[in-house]
Amino acid sequence: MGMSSSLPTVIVADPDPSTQQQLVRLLEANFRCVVTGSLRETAQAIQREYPALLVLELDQPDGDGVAFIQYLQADPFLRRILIACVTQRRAVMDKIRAFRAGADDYLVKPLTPAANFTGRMLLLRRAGHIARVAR
Amino acid sequence: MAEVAKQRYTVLIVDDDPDLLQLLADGLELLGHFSVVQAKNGEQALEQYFQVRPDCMVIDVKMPGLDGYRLVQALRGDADSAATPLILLTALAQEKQQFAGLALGADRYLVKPVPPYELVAAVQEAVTISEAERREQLQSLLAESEEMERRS
Repeated sequence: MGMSSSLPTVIVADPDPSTQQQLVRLLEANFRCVVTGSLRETAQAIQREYPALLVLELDQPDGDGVAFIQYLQADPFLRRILIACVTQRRAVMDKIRAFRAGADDYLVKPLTPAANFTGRMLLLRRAGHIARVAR
Repeated sequence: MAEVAKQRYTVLIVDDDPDLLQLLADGLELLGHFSVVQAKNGEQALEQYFQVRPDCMVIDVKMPGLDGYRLVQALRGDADSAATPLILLTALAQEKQQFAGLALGADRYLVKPVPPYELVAAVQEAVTISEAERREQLQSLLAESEEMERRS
């Protein structure tokens, strides 16, 4: 328990319990995971935890994930949180909208082993500041 | 000489500089005999990808809107587009930038100005090696750039 505090925090924001489980399994060795099931819960968790990373399903029961990204980007403090969309939305326009809004990564469900989600999140965290500067 | 039925590979190239785009596209067509489709920004490239289904993509890093890194992420993040070889072009020669490009899933990274024959060679290699070889290459490049990062 004491050790876990040294890990960076990730908020896994996905309304589907089995996806939550899958994502936590993939992340928990390297991140302290906090799970949320709606945008309202996610907003509260973000204020409380100030995570290094937000893993976000764009389809949320109480609103649109892209609008939520815009809300985070409008805050000079919260915009430093890295955002990886892991979503069932696969239309080109959804990808473009998410990146325009300020997403740092975009993965379409279902996650296959080839997607190397864990490695990708670790690299994103390391390369994150570079990506932000390049923006 | 026996004429082997040669497959004509399609390359989708994206650069926001129209002159450079044309120059590189001409090089790929004339020197490499590739079928070339041009896109003038990242968003257009992402849309065209799913219409064209190219065998390889050549991507400028620095573009307004959806830049090269995000385009790579968008493509690699969808199983439907993840397997295409991606070559990044950039004017930024810094090692950190190179690391970022590789980390996010590009196969090759060429620093501008890129001589046309060099681009043709890179595309030729990218379209002919197998996916397994490509993965292996990417892994060793990644290990290299991680080592580079550790030293910096």
